[in-house]
Amino acid sequence: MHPDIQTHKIQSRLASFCRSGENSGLKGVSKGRLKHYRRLVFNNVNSSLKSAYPLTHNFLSEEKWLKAVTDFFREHVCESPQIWQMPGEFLNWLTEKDDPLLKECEFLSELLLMEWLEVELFMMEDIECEYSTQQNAQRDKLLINPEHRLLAFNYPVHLKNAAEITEADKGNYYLLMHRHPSNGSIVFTDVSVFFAAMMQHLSNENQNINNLIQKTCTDFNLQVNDEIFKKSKEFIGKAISTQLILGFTN
Amino acid sequence: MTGIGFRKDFAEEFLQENQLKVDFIEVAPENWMGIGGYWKKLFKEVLKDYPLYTHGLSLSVGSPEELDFSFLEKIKQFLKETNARIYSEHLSFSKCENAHLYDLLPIPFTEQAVKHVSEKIKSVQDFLERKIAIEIVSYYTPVAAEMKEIEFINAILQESDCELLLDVNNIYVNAFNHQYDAKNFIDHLPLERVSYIHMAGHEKVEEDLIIDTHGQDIIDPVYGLFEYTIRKMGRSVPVLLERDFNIPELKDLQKEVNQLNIIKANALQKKFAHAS
Ligand SMILES: [Fe+2]
Repeated sequence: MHPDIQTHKIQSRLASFCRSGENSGLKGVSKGRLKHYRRLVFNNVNSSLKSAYPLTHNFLSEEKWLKAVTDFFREHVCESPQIWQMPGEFLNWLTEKDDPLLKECEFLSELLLMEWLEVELFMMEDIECEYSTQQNAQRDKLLINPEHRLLAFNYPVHLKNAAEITEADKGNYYLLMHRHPSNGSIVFTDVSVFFAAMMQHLSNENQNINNLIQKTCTDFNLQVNDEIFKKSKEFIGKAISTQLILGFTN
Repeated sequence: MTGIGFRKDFAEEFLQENQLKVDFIEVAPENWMGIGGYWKKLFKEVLKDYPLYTHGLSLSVGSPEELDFSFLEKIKQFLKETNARIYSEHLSFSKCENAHLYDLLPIPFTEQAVKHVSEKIKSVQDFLERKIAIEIVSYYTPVAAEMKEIEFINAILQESDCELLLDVNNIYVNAFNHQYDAKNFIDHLPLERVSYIHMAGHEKVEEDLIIDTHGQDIIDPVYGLFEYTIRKMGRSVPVLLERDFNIPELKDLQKEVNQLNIIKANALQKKFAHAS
């Protein structure tokens, strides 16, 4: 029937039709039926992206959203065999090509990043670590939950509905996200620059409470005083209760 | 043995309430491998109670390009860790020019494809050190076919010497969409290769087109074709109920599972009554 058509070429044409929606001379198919492949493939990709980025999808007009998804799926070679990771490729793709969508509004890349990291943290493999919930002389160093991300934002994408964020909100915001070890949920903690720096130190190296407070104060040219010490211990106590800090290690 | 396609949509309900009783569960490795946290914990729970069958999505034995061996290595690890009884994949392609499409596309029924697909299935079996079961997929249009579908399938099964996952609903859907006789098609399959059966519902979207959605109850003609198949095979193989969308209450899925068990038992009884 089609003696001179190479199988590889036909498969490529079918695949590229599914990716772009444009038929580049695929023969020996039923035209009326072919469209269903594009529809099914695209819907699957679109709904995976929508469920990874519900806030971004909600914020953008449907037209802008669909254009981004359409361009992405046509141009990008999706590498992961696991579809849950594909939305991470979407974010990388937008960032690398500096897609006009990201210029749409200044905070969009922050919103996308927060949404993706939530998915990634929720799904990522468990990181085993040893610690005790009791502090003693041998085990006095705090251990931060390794399943966390610390983010610095210019806009409060974790605090406000995207539609309500304005230029006046521009500032410095710090967000800690971590996966709760017992129920697997992602906990969001908005922190000050001081505690962000403190958790960054702890993330670099396990250390005891006094050293940690001292080091953080040095960053900000502060003398440790009772007030700072009290506030820091409060913060650390709260972080232990939410399991952002898991406990003590040696 | 009758199982259910285990989905996150009803995972908690399935574990907590005893509404759906099955002999095994099936998952796509891609959805459960290399993950942690909540789903990992839940998956471990369910594996304590049920044997696992697996049905891959992304290996793409029908791709024109090379197999992804690093991915296959992860699959192998997963099969080992979960003590999976069966690893099955689709006779289709879901990746081309190394771009994943996350869906099942029909392979052209050509000599060239028979060769490259059979080679791939053989490599997979060698690598995994086990036979795999290949599923005939539903498709909506042939693509530059040089031979009949049945010739294509049988050539691959023979050349690669793999097992057959017979999705009875897919045969029904294909027979309807491409206007052939489903029973006759089954008659021409090497049924001795069937190691696993899938059953599912579908959706008629046009007068002459069914889409294989796995989003509806199994319809009577598909039950009928299932009975025909079991009787013709004359032996029992594990049967899976697939329900991916529009998921009803678990007690309703139980009714379908029961129905499958009754049909299978009857078909085999009739067979043996006939033989004695
Ligand atoms: Fe199936």
